[in-house]
Amino acid sequence: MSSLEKLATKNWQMSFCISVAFCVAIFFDYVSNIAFGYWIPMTVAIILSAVSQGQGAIIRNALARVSGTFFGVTLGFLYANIFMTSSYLWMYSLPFIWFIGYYFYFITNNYIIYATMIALFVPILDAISDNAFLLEYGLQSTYFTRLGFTIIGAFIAISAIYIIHRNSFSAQPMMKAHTENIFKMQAEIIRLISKCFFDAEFSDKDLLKTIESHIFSITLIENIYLNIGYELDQNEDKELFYQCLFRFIEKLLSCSRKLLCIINHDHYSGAISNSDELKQVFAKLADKYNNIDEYFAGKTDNSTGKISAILEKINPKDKFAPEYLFIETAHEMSLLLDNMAYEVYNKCNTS
Amino acid sequence: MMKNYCSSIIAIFRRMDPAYDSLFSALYLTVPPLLAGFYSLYSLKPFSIDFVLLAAFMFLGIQTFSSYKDKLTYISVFLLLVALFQFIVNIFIAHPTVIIVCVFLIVLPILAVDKIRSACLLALTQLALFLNGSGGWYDALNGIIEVVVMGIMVISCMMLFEYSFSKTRMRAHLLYLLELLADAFNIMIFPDKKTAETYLVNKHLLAIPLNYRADFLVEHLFSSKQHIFLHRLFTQLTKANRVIVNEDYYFQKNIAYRNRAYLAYFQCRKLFREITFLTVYLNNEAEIQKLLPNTKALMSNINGSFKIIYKAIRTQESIEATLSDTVTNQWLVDCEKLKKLCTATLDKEILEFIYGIKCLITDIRKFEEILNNQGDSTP
Repeated sequence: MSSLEKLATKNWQMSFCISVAFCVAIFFDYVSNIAFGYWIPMTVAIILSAVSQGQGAIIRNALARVSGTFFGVTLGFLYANIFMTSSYLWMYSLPFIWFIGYYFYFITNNYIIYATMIALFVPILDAISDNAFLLEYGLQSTYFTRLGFTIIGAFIAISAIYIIHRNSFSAQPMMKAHTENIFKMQAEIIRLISKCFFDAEFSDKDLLKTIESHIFSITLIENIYLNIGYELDQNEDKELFYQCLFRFIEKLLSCSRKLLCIINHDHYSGAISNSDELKQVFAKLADKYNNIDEYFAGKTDNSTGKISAILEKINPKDKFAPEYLFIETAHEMSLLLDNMAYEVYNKCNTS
Repeated sequence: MMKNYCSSIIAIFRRMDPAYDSLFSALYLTVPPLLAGFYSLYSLKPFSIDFVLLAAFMFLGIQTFSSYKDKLTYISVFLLLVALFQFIVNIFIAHPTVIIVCVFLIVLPILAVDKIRSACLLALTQLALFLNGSGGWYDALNGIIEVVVMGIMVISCMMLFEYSFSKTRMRAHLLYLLELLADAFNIMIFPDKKTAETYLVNKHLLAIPLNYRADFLVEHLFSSKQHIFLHRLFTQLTKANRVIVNEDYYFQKNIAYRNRAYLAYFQCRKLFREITFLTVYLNNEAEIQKLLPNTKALMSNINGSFKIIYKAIRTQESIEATLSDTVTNQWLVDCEKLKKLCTATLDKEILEFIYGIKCLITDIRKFEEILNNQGDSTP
């Protein structure tokens, strides 16, 4: 099955799972026939709206939603019973509370704050529209009904992803695909940088596009990493691998920045070695990053040694030439990959 | 006294939200629902809770898009689905089985499409709220009218925000980027923590409690402050890239400002690359000082340059030469001497540092040119 077909199948599985969960929640709402039963399908839809970030995000959102609802209904209960029963003028403070709440949500990205705001405002708005403050904010309608329905909604959402198709929600394949893309883009960056340095052929557009795609994938895996710890089959080995991966990427980015800085200011001056040999070195390095999975599976080569040999041959007087730093950085990148591949291969064989 | 209090409060907020991203996002999320609320109150139309939340959800959804085409597609799909759900729920309110079957059949194919999944999921949240309604033809039509009014309101707010705040947002991102560049430079060159921190504008970056953000989570994996700041700069560059490079602007004044900010932003990217070369400085400080005695004077000169450039962008004024020619030229002459004397014994790290500083000098001068050539139109 091709990767596109796999993706389409996964999307259908995901869609089926969400549709079933939501319809079950509506069914519960009708069966329970209690006021505010709509809270169950609403909870399911809000929790599952994190679906694009993977299973971990859904589980985290479910947990945060339960605690956020608790805080929200508590604050709402206090607000409605202390202020809103005394004077309707307090109602004008609501937009300010809404603004402050979401401001802190955007600063911290803490989903509990988001859930708190929803749990605080939906009943208040309901109460305003129905003119039924005490009904909306009595103990029955807050702690027993809304909090209970949130727990039921969270349970339905998590059960759906666990029972129907837990693999289609996992963020691991997404993480893998974007990590592969990072290395493929890294290879492309090395190829374009080398072309620019040695042949002075500079396609600003291509390089910018590749760098943007590279950056986009890095940002995306950082966001996936945020929630991946909550996934059902996450273990310590995987966590260690991701930590290692981020440190590796940071070092790799430093090297890329150095190379980009050099091509911004200098080009090959012919001071060191012959350009064909150096071009081959960079082509090999790009190739290594393009096929990084082979190196993770145990493949080795002597390209780092070859770069070291070129560096040793350099006349000390030529060390001030930009070529020296250019080759040194290539050496650093090749060595980085070798070390990472060695660690990954050994870790895979031992655990 | 009052002024001091105000500046302290502003400083606290700036510490938490230096590029004002959260402030604008919260504002975007507050104004449309507020307008919806006022519309409901003053049009003497029965107040609808869904109407207020609809605006908030819609604004939350379009936050992730940068082009107008994507934003409008998202709004259209979302509104269409909400109107459809509104209609189905209100008409079949007494027949839950029909609602469940209809919703299942509509939602199943839509959720399988990546591009419109998030709009559909938010529309489902609205659907849940409609279940609380009383139903009937009147409510169904009324709800659809609300949806159309809300769509017009959100699109108008989107344009209004672009017109009013885009320039401020771009400038805030650029200024924060420059602050971080200056901070990263200080972190690279000051050996003791205390001295470095007295110069830092963004001290809080080293310890922010109670957050759940990917950038901070990843930063905690790095062992050195240098790498933490480089990562922070990388994150800010990506955010600024979105606002300055990728975002679609409709109004001419914003497009013109973006074209000016673009040059300054790319110059910042170049400075960032050069600062990477300085990570080795502290390991070789003594030797560098011995070989190039003017290095410290040059460093403090560069440090001052960052401040002058920052001020120029903030006040939108042109600047005079930020780097002292005497100090810079002396340092470059020392480098040339060094090149002739002892390159054989020079460590790779020292060569990296020298190269980085040379490029930094060139690019700071280019930055001055960019700012001065733009004259009154400095970003």
